[in-house]
Amino acid sequence: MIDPRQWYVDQLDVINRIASSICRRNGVQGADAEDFVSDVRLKLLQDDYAVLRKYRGASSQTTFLTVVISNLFRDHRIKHWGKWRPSAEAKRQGEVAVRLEAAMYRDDLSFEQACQFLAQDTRLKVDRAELRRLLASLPHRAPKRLENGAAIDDVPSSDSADAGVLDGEREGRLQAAKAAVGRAVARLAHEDALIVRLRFFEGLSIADIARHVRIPQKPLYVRMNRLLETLQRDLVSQGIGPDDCDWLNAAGP
Amino acid sequence: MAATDEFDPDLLAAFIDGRLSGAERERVVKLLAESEAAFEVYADAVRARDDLDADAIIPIPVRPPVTVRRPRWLTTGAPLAAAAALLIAVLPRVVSNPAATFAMRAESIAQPLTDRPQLAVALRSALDEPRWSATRGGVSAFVDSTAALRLGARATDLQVALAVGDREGANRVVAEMVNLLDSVNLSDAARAEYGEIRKRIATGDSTSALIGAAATADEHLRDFLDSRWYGVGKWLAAGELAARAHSADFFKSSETTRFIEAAIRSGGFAPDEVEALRQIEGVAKRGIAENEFETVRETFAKLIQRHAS
Repeated sequence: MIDPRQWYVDQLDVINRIASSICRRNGVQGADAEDFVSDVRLKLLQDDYAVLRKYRGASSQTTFLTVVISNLFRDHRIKHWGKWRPSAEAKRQGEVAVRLEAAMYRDDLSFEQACQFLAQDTRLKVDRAELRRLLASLPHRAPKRLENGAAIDDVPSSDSADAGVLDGEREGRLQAAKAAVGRAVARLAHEDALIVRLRFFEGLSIADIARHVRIPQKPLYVRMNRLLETLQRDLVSQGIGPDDCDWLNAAGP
Repeated sequence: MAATDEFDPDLLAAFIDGRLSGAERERVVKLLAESEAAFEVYADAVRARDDLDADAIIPIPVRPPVTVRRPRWLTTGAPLAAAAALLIAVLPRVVSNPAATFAMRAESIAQPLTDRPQLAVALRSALDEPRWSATRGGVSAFVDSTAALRLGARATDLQVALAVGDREGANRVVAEMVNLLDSVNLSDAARAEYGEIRKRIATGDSTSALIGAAATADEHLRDFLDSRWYGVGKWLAAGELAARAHSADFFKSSETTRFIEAAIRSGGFAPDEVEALRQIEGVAKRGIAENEFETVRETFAKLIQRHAS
């Protein structure tokens, strides 16, 4: 039986690194990140290390801590930020995209403010042109506030997005499409649904999915194609079809 | 309610470690398919675990001295965007969407080829025969169609080289891509990304990791170039390699048919080239015969030659 107190002390560095990773990947930084790390330490200590006492040895200690801290982050996120999460596209593009997206769509900064904010982190080697390109590639709407008048022309519209705020009709259609996708994915076999969610909801590559779900990579390409065809048929049966293509391409990433 | 009220964190961690099988694994897979909370925790955990393994974690930065208005949190975000992403992935199968066809990743385009035993030899031949002739001049003010097509062709060659385990071939292809990018303004990030892949090939990184890195670099380059000709280059190179490797599967693929249709309608090809594409389309639809592969290969090679020189 592991002594949770000793485990906590021995693993403090690992705990800090896991919390840092999760913050970074979710666009949480500065004081918010420090708050979360403090919160994690507190939660692990509470009730005489009750969380750590749940460990039975089925997994490695490090992975157990990773799951526990990820779960604490989820609680923390909901408490502080509601339902907001980085998009799969931002996660796929990396830390800078996640932080840009969070700055503009979560923290409500203008593009100018977001650029200044990110520029202060000397670890990030990005320039305004790169940030503009990233912004154009993200699946959300255009920045809500732009400064200096001409700034709106400074941010290119994505090929796939007018980048305007979704109007009521489009919002309604997108919500209906989202519900249809939810139903279609729920009808898949469990492992298939997990694969689709990892690919499209989290933006993982096929190689990463194969590695994480422990399934062979090569057949997964064919399997993914079949799954998309299945989803296509399901969506068509729910009335999502060619008419939806244009506005979806305009609304999506 | 905390997500861990719904599941056993040790069991989920064991799944991430690959320690589960049978009914226990099924239980976790079902949980992840059905529970949004568990899935979210799992997704964050696998990424954090990867970071730990890669020793890629850096300390939390000190609070930047910028005054940030406290946010009005938006409640839109990932679920809606994810649904849109999935729909967009599916909808091109509902209606032919030329933009989606040209935007396909080299990894996906080349996938039907990768089972062909002749592919390694075919790739070697393709790399040994110059696909285009003229040496390009200095730095372009804008990315032109020629550079984009060349880069696209090499993006496919790179994925195929990695898929067949030809590291030396992959290295040659990446080196050429880096050189090609020298002629493209503002391509520092892309050059650095392919330069990094080259280093990883040299240091013996795993093939699966390299395939993933090449796929990511391909997407970044596609976004950067923002040129249909990049996608055309990928498809033409794949077609040429498929014909060399006698891959009937490639020509049977609905994606290949969609590409040919999109290319014909794109207006980017001369009338004689459109006619040649129509012939390939006809051959693909009825099923390519063994004695037709060479003719098809020559057609693809000519199209590459014309548009990349």
